[in-house]
Amino acid sequence: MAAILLFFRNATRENRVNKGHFTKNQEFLPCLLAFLSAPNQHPKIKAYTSAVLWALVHGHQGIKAAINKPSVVSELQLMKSEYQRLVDKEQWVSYSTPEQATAQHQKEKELGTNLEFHTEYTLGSNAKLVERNKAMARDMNAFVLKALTGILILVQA
Amino acid sequence: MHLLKLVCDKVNSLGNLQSNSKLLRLLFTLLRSLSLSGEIAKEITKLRFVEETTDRILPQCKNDKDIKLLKYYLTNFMAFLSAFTQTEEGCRQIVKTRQAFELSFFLLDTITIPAVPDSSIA
Repeated sequence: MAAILLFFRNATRENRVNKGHFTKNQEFLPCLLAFLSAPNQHPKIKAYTSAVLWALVHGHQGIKAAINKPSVVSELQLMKSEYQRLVDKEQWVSYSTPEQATAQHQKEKELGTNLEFHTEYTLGSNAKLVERNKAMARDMNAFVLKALTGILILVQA
Repeated sequence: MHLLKLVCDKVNSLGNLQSNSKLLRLLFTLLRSLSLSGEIAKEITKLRFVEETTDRILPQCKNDKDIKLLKYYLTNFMAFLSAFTQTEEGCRQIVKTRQAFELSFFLLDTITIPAVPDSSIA
């Protein structure tokens, strides 16, 4: 599913002709919105879906008009506030553990790299992978928030 | 270009679409890397690789159960398509292949993604 969403994002990012294919399909936008609003959806799928929606809305009046309905906009705003709450909560948790954050920052400075950027995002059940999953969920939630903000700005502009 | 034709022919001549063979993964990885170039994307379109592959997949892919059986092949193929459309040239070329969009829409509509419990994410 992630590969399909990546294909949609890449195909529609810069190309207006390709966006036409999506406006023709009646089921496409409701399907994307259903992925975004579904509870217990994988954070990666949600992030990729929001990226597709953002790429579609960018520079296409037809899709903007299709999304600019009171019910859809209020749903997106509700999702945005929910993600804002999640991201703020995660940020607050990272502030409350300063020693760990400083140690990581120092290590990054020594290595000259962003360690979080190189985190391998995989789902797993053992304790070692829990931290990676947390990092993945945190980054994906932050991205969804950014994408939803972008979508709402473009739609309401 | 000979290499490209060879790889495309090899992928199209693979008999079992349900297997997750090392050869399949290697061939698609090679195609994925090559198609990141706009020039190669143009050549791939000329070879009608996307059309031929989708024509092979679509008759075997009618419902959720079929998709599950072909999941490795489909994952590799969709990953190839996402790399193919990475460049501007690739985006322009994909417009010529309507089947790719049809297949993607069909997969998006048909696949039901299993819910992930909160405990396994955080």
